[in-house]
Amino acid sequence: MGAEGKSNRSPAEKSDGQRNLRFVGLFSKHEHRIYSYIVALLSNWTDADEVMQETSIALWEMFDQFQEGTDFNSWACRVAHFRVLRFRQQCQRDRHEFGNDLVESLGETASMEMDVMETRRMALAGCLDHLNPADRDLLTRCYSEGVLIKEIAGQLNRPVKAIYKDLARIRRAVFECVGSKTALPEAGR
Amino acid sequence: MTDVNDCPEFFELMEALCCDSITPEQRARLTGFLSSDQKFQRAYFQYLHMHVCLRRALGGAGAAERSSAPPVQADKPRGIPMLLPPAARTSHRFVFLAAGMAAALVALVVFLRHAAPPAAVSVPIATLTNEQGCVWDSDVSIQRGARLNPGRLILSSGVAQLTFSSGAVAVLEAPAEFELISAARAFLHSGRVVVRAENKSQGFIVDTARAEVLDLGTEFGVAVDPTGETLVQVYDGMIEAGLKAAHVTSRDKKRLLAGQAMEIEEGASRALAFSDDRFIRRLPDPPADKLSEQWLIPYNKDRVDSINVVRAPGRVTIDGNLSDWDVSGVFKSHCAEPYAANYNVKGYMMSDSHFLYIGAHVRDPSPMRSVIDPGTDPNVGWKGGSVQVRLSTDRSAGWPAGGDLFMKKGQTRTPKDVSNKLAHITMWYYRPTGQPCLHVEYGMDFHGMQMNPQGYQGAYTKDADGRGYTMEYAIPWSLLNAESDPPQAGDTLAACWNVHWSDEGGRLWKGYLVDVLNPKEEGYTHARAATWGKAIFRK
Repeated sequence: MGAEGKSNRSPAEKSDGQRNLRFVGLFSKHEHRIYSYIVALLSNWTDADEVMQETSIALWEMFDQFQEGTDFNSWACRVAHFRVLRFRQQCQRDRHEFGNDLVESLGETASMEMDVMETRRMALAGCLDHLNPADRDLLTRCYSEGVLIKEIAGQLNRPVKAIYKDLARIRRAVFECVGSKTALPEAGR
Repeated sequence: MTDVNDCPEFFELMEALCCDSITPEQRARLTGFLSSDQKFQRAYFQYLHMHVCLRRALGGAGAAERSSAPPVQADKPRGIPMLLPPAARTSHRFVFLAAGMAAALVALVVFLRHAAPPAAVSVPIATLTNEQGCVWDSDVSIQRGARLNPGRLILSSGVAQLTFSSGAVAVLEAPAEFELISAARAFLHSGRVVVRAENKSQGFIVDTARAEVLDLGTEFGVAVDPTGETLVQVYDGMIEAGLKAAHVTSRDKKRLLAGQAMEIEEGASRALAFSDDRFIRRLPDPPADKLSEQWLIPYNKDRVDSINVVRAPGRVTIDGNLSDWDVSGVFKSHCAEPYAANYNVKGYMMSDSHFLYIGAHVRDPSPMRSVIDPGTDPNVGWKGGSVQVRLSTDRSAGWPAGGDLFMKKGQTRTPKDVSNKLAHITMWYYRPTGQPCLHVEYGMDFHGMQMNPQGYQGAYTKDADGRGYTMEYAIPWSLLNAESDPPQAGDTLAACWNVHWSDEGGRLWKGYLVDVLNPKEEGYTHARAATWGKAIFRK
């Protein structure tokens, strides 16, 4: 029973307030996947932020075209895909991180992975719970908004490189943990 | 084939990308990896997605309000902490966004995400008083003891006990969407819950899309399937269920007493046989050993890429004893340590002109405990401990098999995807009646479900030490849509095995192994038939 639901009401029947809530609900649920999709294609955080911003507006403006009962994430990623392509054209730079073929290929791979992403996100919370307190603390510090790694190194009286090394180790451990836990969807059928 | 996990350089490059410190040379190396193999593309996407989710989970609630914050520093992890970038950005585009619908949306988003909700809903109304193996669909970790405000909980795995401030106790079984409304009311969108509402907590209401179930001093269970169909069962006392229907203004009310159950569709109900094991009423007992306490999930690394399907040596008696089998085609697999000794399988397959025979010896600390009712829950039979075999009987297709569950962009289903000759066979022992169950679905679209169809035979025996079981099935080729052209000696078709383990209660899934796999393909066996290994039919 997906959040997209089985609404019998067409978008035209809904009030603006309902439309807003509906959009926000769907967007909130799928935003992590849409953003990951854009980042994967652009491989550049600044560019990805820019395109995500444009995509979110486009999705809002085009929301009446979204058909209830269909896959919001799939629809949103199609919109995002075109925004990425347009961004690449508009930039007219020759420093694109990836070639066109690789971008298309990554887009297809990402689309195929989408169904698993929600499961992976759910597994992540459990994997964080399994971290030892020191690792969990370091990860939380590193992801805190507006904090520099060198500031964390100073707080912990450790070299910056050691923080990076630990961060990489912890993320790798979490990645493997999520990988093992995402055995769950297989069990579903 | 190189395993991504064996490529430390790839992960070094991903770290550099996540930290926004990747050099042109490193980017070129990363491009090389991504161009070489799709498995690197998958890992790349998964790693980036993990980073994005970590940022959301750990990034702090203040992120969206930091509109005056400096641009993200080069040496900190990047990502998107905010729901909608416009709300948090200082770029020139924000001026544009400040007008019209986008601004209205931003305001709405900010309100929903960050503005204080109405005072009445900010008060905790329940506590997570116990849990086992819980995975929540939540950005924040929900730990035992957590105080819960009104709102929707999505439990993906495990079982949770919630104690409402009214005194009512709810045992929620995954997968479930359960919305806390007030101290005396909750809405079950899907899944299963048992509520004990005794003495002062009488009057607790569980709503579903089809019914309003009012407690009258009792213990009762409510289950909602994905279509909204509702099942109510009373263990103690009495309940009153008001049936909901779009066209009915005054609700038809039904009363149920202890020992009664009913199914409710839109505006209509029918009596159902009471089944004591239909719900989890108490959390499973704490595990006896330390390994289990960690509630790790047994899983395995695949070991074999084929299974021999040997010719049945004459008449086979289906009695749970494989002594009359030709066991030369055995494959063995076990879960990764520390589970290998107690979670393993020996699998056997045989055939003749009438039947496919599937046999297995499964080591299982809680064998033959399943309480998954084939009558009401046929699609989750795997949960309570089971053996699943996926098999292609398509002789013209051979191996590897084709067919996918998920479609790429713009792709439509092909005949391979919906082939009747791809069968997903799930077998379990239903403890309440002692019935050997058989569930079959077809194609990668899982159509044509059959539950305990005519014509099959199955039998189970428990190991003498009570920590394992032997199962034996004879399945007519007609059930696999191959009666007119059953597989022959010399054929190489596609098959794979999944073995599932549950807790002692026989409902809570604990883990599984997957084996007999195509080493050249990645993906989930329920989603891609190409991942299935070989079933080699011998003389």
